[in-house]
Amino acid sequence: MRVLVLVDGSKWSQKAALHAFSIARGGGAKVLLFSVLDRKEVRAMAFHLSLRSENLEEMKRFEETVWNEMKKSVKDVITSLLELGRREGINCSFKIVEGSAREKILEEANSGKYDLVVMGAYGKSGKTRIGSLLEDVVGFIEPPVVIVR
Amino acid sequence: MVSVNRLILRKFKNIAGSRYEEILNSYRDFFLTEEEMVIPRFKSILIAIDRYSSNVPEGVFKLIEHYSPERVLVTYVVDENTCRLIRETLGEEDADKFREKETALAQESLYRVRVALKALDVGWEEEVVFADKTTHVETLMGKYDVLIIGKQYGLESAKTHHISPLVFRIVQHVAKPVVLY
Repeated sequence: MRVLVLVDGSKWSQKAALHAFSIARGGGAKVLLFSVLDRKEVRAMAFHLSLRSENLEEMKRFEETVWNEMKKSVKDVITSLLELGRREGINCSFKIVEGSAREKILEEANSGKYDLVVMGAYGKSGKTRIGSLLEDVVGFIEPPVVIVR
Repeated sequence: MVSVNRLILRKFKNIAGSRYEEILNSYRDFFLTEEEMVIPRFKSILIAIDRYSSNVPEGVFKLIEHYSPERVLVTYVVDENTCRLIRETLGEEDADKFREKETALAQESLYRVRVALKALDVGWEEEVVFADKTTHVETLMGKYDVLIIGKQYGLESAKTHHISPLVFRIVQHVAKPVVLY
């Protein structure tokens, strides 16, 4: 069994990875921790936080700092999960890509390489309405999907 | 080897000091504590099917094998409101006919699930119930660790919705992992 876990660095995506490890612990399953970094999120954040600044260069520097921190944060979470998984004897690896989260997730999940997709019920904003996730992503994923609470 | 997550948590604990508990309570949606960073074990599974979602794919049975649960319940749910409507509009006899036909269809569907489950080394039970499709599942999930349910549960047509509105409600109400196929 090949399991794709969607990791955005949030608590819920970490729980999703732990759930996938639980499935894989019995043996024979491979787990891929998959993360999409969306530059647009950072651009929007940098723009709104730097509105008072008249210096465009400062805004760009801020955007770069936030982008690097975002990458570092996701890598830290993935490293931590990989260590835990490997300690438990689970065959796990990771893949980080850049682009639109929805697009990249659907592309990877429906590539035919996976028997199962595991994802957290919520994202980095904490507990929100699950509906949009179901409507926008889960409904379009072909393999079975585990939504972890 | 100490994991990065533990290092982050330790650092966070040191910075937060005596306010750690207070911060934990206010921001617990955003990070896993050391206690939560454990691989869970799922001992019981509920599989909810109906006339629209009885075609459980082979991959789901492989998944059940990986969970290696101690008990599995397959519940086939027939909408009791439909039964009531038939009784109220067409009479008791037609309502009985409906119940008979639905029970026969349920047995046919359960047979396929039964064959697949027999091939796995798991203990399982099955039932056919006439109930409200959402509340029945939500109530049962108080006793099970994982729910397996079809995206089309409770919905005849897949053309306008990718996920049935009933499944939407169930996923939002059940605070347990849900497998959607």
